Amino acid sequence: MEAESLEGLFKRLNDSPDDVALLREIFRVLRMTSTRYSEFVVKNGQTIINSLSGGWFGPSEELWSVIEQVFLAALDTNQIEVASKQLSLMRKQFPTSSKVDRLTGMLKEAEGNYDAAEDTYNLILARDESDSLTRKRLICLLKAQKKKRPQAIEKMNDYLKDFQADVTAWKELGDMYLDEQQYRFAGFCYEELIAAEPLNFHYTLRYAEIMFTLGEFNIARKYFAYTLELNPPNVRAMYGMALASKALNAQKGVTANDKKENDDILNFSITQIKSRYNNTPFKQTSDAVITQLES
Amino acid sequence: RSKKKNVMHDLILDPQIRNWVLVPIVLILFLIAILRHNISLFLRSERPTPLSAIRDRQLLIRSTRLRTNGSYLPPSSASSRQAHYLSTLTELIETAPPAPDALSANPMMDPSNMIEMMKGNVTMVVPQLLMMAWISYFFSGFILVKLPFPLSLQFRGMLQRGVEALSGSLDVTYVSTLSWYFLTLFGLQGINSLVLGEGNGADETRLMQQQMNMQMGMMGGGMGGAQDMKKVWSVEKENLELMAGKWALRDVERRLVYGKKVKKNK
Repeated sequence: MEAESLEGLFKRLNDSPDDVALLREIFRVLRMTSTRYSEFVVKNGQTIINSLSGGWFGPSEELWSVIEQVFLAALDTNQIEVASKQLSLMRKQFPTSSKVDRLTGMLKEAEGNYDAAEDTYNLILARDESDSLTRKRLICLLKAQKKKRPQAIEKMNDYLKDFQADVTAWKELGDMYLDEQQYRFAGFCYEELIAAEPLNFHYTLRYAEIMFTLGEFNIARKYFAYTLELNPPNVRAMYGMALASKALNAQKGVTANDKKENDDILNFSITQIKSRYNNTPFKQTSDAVITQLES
Repeated sequence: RSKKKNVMHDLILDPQIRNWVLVPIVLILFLIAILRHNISLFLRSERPTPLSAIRDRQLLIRSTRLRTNGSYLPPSSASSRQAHYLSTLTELIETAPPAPDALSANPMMDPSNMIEMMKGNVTMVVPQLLMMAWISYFFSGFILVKLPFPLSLQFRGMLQRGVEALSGSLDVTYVSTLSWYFLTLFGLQGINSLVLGEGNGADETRLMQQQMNMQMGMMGGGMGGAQDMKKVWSVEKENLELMAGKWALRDVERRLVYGKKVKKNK
């Protein structure tokens, strides 16, 4: 079922724009991959909702997933009336659901009514303190309000005290620290990510760059090299390795052996960069940069 | 046809048997499965997990992650985390409530467990027993079907309950109603999951697995009680202490630049 990618599906949709079954399939794939494609979803949502509402056994289960999907997309595109309409449908069908409560809170957030949203979320948590999704929404609340970034970070740390294995939360916290330029803490978060997914080169690359920013050139270069092992065409890692080697050479107390090794690594990176840019239109730019590196 | 084996004459079964026993049993089992599914939806309790349980579980996950992948972190980071988890685990182990004696740890006495067990029993075991009794009462004493796959002789006693009189000369593949009941019971799992979706309330095999787990838990001394967690933490702590301090990335640049020949630098 996963064989058809979104690209393929959209191509088919171009050819037959009225194919409702195809639309439903696209919506399903969007839901499964958590892809944000909100304009499209809102525009075509009503068609699918109509098609799912009838039928022999009444509306199918899929209907409510689609309604929720359209609701979230409408929040994204600031179409509050559309979102309210979906929300009232859901509220009628699931009057006591804490998910609907949380979605109500999100609607209030979208309207800018942060205090009311916070009250809604706190009510949900009073009923079920282990509701991690609602706690994360409280953090998002604070993040959305520009001046409250430090509080958001504090709340996220509290969340992670309870849910310390939540990888996406660590990523979010790491990025928040990066925004605040607190690189040590960001590095700690990214270490969590590497421990959770050691073969994910995005995390290792970012971690290398964080280490480089902190001046830990040895560690940085190791992780740049590791990123290259995981992802050979990764130009950022190549540049990173080159720069780290240059920085190491410029340090005090560097021995002759080390210098040779650093030079070897530097030349290796430069060769990699050259070969990568060889037949591309960017060759001139890269050559200019390389001359800087070699100097 | 002149086959040189014991040709047992094929029985000709009354087609009325097919109409009045075979098909009805399948239909009835299917409908009962749907009924059980709906009832289980009603009875499902909405107990949220306490935060403390979540916290403990997550600590274990994170600690395991460190053990498995710690070699990809810089050694100082890995060892400081290791120290942190060890001290947390030690603290948890020491402050866990003291071991209750064997009797009070009996999960049968635990009120919340009792309700779960009762629910499980009502929805599963009782209907099963009723069905078996009903079938044995009404539908015993005759051959129901000839199974299309070959069976060995050991099955005869089990599958031909109630028709032993003839079984001396009868192929094992002719079976009684009770065995047909069991066959359809398990066979309908597939149809059940199509119609009712995965994790449906009428899934026999899952329930039997659950029962096995419950029994093992009982033998292990308390289901999910504090005693259990203490053991889990102790195991994790021991494993954590044994964590190797090797850095997988120690020679990564050399690997890249110099190829597979890694200079054995101390």
